[in-house]
Parts: sequence; structure tokens; C-alpha cells
Amino acid sequence: MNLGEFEELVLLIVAIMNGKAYGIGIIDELEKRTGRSAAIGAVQTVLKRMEGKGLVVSEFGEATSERGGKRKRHYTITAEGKQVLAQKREQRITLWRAIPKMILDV
Amino acid sequence: MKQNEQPPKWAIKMLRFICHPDFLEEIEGDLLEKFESDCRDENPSVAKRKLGKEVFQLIRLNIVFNVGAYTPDIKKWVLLLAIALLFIAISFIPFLSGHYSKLAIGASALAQMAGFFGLALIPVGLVWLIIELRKSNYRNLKINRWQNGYYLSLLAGIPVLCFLSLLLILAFPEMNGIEWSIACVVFAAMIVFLSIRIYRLKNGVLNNFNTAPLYLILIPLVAFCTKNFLIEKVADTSRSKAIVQSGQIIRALDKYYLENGAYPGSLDVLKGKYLLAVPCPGIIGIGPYEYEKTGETYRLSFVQWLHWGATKEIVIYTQSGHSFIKGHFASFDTHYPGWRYYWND
Repeated sequence: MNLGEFEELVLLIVAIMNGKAYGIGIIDELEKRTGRSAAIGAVQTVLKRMEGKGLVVSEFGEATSERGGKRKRHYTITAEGKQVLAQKREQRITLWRAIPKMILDV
Repeated sequence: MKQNEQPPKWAIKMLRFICHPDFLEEIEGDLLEKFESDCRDENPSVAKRKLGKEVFQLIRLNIVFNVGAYTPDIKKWVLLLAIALLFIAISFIPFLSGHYSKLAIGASALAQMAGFFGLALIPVGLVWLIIELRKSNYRNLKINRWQNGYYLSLLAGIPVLCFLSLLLILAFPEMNGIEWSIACVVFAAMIVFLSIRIYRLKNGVLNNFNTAPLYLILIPLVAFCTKNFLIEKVADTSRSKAIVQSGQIIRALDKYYLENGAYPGSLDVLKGKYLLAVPCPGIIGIGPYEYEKTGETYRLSFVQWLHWGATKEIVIYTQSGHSFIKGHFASFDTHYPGWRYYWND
């Protein structure tokens, strides 16, 4: 399955947060771990797309006062999502291994 | 922390307008949480600006319309495509080879009419499409179809069909028995189709994308493009075929003239010695050749219906290549010497 670079990052963050991933939480975690900031619209679009592909599932969580009484939607990685991530990892490892050693010597 | 800071009302209103109802609670909560956090860390005016920016960045197809929620139903799309192609085919029938048929001309006129009157339905279709796409919890939702106008819109189809049929009858009173039979079968099939649709709607659950508004948008557009960009091209081909087909009449007339020193009073005179039979143009939308003796010379012509707007073209052969046609608004040369066509309303 095709997975864009940003989709892969968001999916990794969802996996890291282990069932506690939700919109703003994912953005904060992404910034903390990669230094990359993202708009809510961009993250939500990717989450909806990945949910459509069956890579993540979601369910409503608790409502808090700081959210104006609105509920969070928690995302969890599916078995298919895990498989796609594993494939991506394998691809990257294979590519890294293919680089001649002298190229990496600085 | 500044407890009293409230998010800008315009941003929240805009968010509620932009965001699909399925996502609103989640996204509004995220935005409010971020706003709260920004107010803690930064100047409130910066937090408000950031919130506004985030709302603008939500203008995305998936967020506005929840495109991914619709399960594709290939049958509906194929049907939509088939009906669009049917409109094109019906528009083209009078320009194809075959026996002359007034029914085909009438059907083509009606199909082309959709490309003019139907354009008024496009804005309706667009608004309906937006409403359909913005429906919340769309999937597996039992809909009150009377309230949503589904039955009414389908029932409205029956008088429209009756009106079109009446129009066809009035426009073409000279249809023959077979053409009447075809028209009756088509009409009956449409009534049965509508009845089945209404029955299914009564018991059905709407679980995927409703393509009805797309018909209102696509069919008029297809009919409009066919009428304006394709009909004249196919009309060129059918006209040329009919002109070529008339070659044997012209040769017979010339032979008659050489032997008798004058042209005949009618084409029937040619039958036997000069022609086995008077040929037909061989195009569905073109009637028989018309011959008229004009003094020392003659005029051979045929009529081809062109547009829904009762535009007919009269294609005329004269030896001089010119003739006077009452009421024409445009005339054109053909590639064939002596032949010229005139557009009349």
C-alpha cells in the first residue's frame, strides 16, 4: 500500500501514542519528536484518509472543559497499519544497507 | 493563564460552516484545546490569530465534504455514464445511415433540448450535491423520504415524461406504426422504471452516495457539449453522404436532358430507362430528395434537421450553385460543386 511521507510520520506517532493519539496530541508529539509543526487540517485529513484505508481505527473519548466540552477522538493503529509500517521499515533498511560504506564515511 | 479569553466568534462560526458535521466535534475540540494552550504560552492576540489561521487551513476537500465516507457503488456510476452516453447516442441517431425516421429526429431534438433548458438545472444540482455531501452520519441512515423530497422529485418525473411524450406526438404527427410502437414501449419502460425506483425508496436504506444531483449537472452539460461541439461535425458527414448518394439522380437527369433537350417534370419520369428506382439519401434524419424543375434548369434538395431549436438545413443542388431560399439566416458552400446549404428556423 502506498503511504506518503507525512502519512507515515502520523501513523508512527499514532503507534507511539498507543491508543491515546488524538488530533492535538499527535501534533504536539510530532513537534516534540521531529521538530516539525503541522496544521490541524493537515493532520485531520491524513487521519481520515488512513482510517479510510483501514490503517487506523477511531473512537470517541472523554470530553474536557479545555476542549469546550467537545469529545476527543482517539486513533489506534490496526494490524494492517502495523504491517504497512513494517514494510516501510524494511524498505528503508534495505536502502540504507545498499549505500556503499565509503559514501557514509564523513 | 487568562481564563476570560474567548476564541474569536467569527473563527468558530467559520469553522462550523466549513467543517463537515461528522468531524466538527473532534476538530472544534482540538482547536479550542490548542487555543487554550496558546493563550497560556503566548499573547492572546497571537493565539487568536493562530486559531484563525488554523480554521482557514481546514478548507480541504476531505474536511469540508467527508469524501472518504462514501462507499463507491460502481453500478450507480456506470448507470450515470450509460445515461450520459445514451443522450449523446440519441442526439446522433438522425445523422447515422439508415431509413428515414421522424421518431429519431424527435428523440434527438429532445436530447439536444436538455443541453439548453437543462442548463437551468445545473445550479439546482450543485446545491443539492453540496447538501448531499454535507449530510451527517450519512451511511446506513433511514431517511424520511417524503420530507426530503425524494418521492416528490420522482413523482414529478411522471408529468415531465407525459409532457415530453405529448411534445413528441404534437411535433411529429406523421409517425408510422413501428415508430409509435417504439415510442409506447420506451414510455412504458420509463413509467415502470420510475415505479420501481419509488417502491425501492419506500423500503430502502440509503447507504452510499446519492448520484441524483450529478444527473442534473452532468446530463445538461453532456447534451450542451454534444449540441454545440459535435452535432455540426456529424451533420457534415451525413450531408456529404446524402450528396454523394444523389450523384446517380444527377447523372440520370443529365442523360435525360441530353436525349430530350429538357429536364423532366418529376423524378418519377426517370424510373425505368434512366434509374431503376429513385434512391433515398440513406440517412435516418434526412427525408427523400425533392426535385423541382425551374424553367430551363432544375433544383434538387433535401432537408436535414440540425438542432432542437427547429433549425433545419436545406441542402440544395443547382447548376449555378445559387438559389433563393426564403427565411434562411445563414448559408454555406459544401465541398461538392453546385451544392450549398441554408439554415432556416
